[in-house]
Amino acid sequence: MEKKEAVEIVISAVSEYIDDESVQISESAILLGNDAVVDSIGLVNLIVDVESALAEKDIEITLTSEDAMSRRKSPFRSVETLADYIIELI
Amino acid sequence: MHIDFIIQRFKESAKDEAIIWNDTVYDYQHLIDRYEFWLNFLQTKTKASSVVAVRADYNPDSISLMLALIENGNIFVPFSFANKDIDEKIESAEVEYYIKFDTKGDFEFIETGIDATHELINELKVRKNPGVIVFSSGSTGKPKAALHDYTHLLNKFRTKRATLRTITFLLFDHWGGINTLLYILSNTGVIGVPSIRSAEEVCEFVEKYKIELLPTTPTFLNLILISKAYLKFDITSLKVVSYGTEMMPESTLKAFNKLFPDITLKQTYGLTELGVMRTKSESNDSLWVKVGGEDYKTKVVDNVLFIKAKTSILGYLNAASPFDSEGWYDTGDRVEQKGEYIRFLGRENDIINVGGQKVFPAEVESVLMQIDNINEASVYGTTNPIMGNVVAVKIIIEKDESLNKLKGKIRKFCKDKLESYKIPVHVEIVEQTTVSERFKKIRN
Repeated sequence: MEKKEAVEIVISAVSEYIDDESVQISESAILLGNDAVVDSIGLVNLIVDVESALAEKDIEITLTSEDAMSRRKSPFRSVETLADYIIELI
Repeated sequence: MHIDFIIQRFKESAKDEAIIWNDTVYDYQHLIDRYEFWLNFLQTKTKASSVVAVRADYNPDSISLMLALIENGNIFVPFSFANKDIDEKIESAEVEYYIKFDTKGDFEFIETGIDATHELINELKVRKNPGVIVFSSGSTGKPKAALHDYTHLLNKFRTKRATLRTITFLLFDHWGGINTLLYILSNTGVIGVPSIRSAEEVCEFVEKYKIELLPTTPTFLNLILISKAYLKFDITSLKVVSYGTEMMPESTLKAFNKLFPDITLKQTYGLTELGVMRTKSESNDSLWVKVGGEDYKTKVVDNVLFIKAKTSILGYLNAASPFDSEGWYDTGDRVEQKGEYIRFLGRENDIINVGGQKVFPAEVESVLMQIDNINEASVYGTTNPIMGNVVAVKIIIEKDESLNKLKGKIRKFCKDKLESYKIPVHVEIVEQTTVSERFKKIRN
């Protein structure tokens, strides 16, 4: 999968979850911490949604593994880092 | 000796309707005849004060046998056809004789070879009182064999009261069902036993036999609403519908009350360990309820209901006593308080902890079931590496719908009705019902 496609999947999941047309989600959108566009339960939902979207393309991966949780730099920081992490796992 | 007063009332009402079973109406004379047969049977075949298990559904014979067991001073262990682990239960209840009915009403008599020697059973033998052992399902661990002294229960029924024509809905092994049955019998009312317990069958039975009281579960009421069986059959002979044994979704209660404003909706509250308490609902469409009666004391500690009862069990045969040193029983039910009224929020065990926030499945289910095309929702917790646990739900839909569309609809609908951590993260559409043989919701 191209990085562009992974970014699109994440952006579409974030937009769908936020469900607010006035908010434009870009590749640099923050997903963790004070400036995040979603709260923690939002992030959980988002990850599950991204997993389901990938599953529809016959890509079965688990994003919330121990590896992901224990990295010094979380792969869930932003849309871009999450997209990178997806590519890495595939 | 123990039930002279009941048999006397039977004789006074010998020609009156007693039980409707297999589409046949039996009178009280029939129950007296069968009772005499069983009393003679027990006296010739069983040892005094022995433990006797009976597997049956409600029928004229099993009911008469239950009365004969009380009179004869036996310890009665009821099983229903829904019991899967009878062998294990026979051992933990120290059952000495087992009378096994089939669905047609024929029976088999089995000597188990077990000798009942438990100290609690001996205590009852010394008192020369009849007993009953019921199993407490408990959400964790093995079912616990709870021993009651039957005479406590019988004393409640010495004063004669009015009865309604009642369906036996709870199974033969259910403590609440036994209570209802003895209440009706001691007041020589009418018991109706529907043969298949589906929403349609029950509604048809209500119409045919002019049933007035339906004791049931919230899940079953919801099935009546979904099936629309009330359109096919006239159920307006019902005066009271009582519900208990699990959480009532507010949506179901309000929907039923709207359709049938003349039917009194009554919440019941009982526990295997304590008995069935007197309750008073604030109103037909309210979940606020007063619980108690003269034999019960209640207190709420850290939002959990504690009860002290005069009629509580002697103890468990296979577990430590559930009472604290002052006799209080921790019900494990979370409640809210408003003056004298309480409202049940759910079982402590069912609470889902989402990142430290508590979620009661019933609250979420009640919102979900208001959504168009959702017939049933069963909410449970599932582990999540980020939040510890998150909310998940199994849903039965009415018409075909894609999972994505349904998920979006759920989020939109719940957005301003539930805090975000209560909204299901995982949604699954299931074909088969999430309802047990006892018409209770199964959560996993």
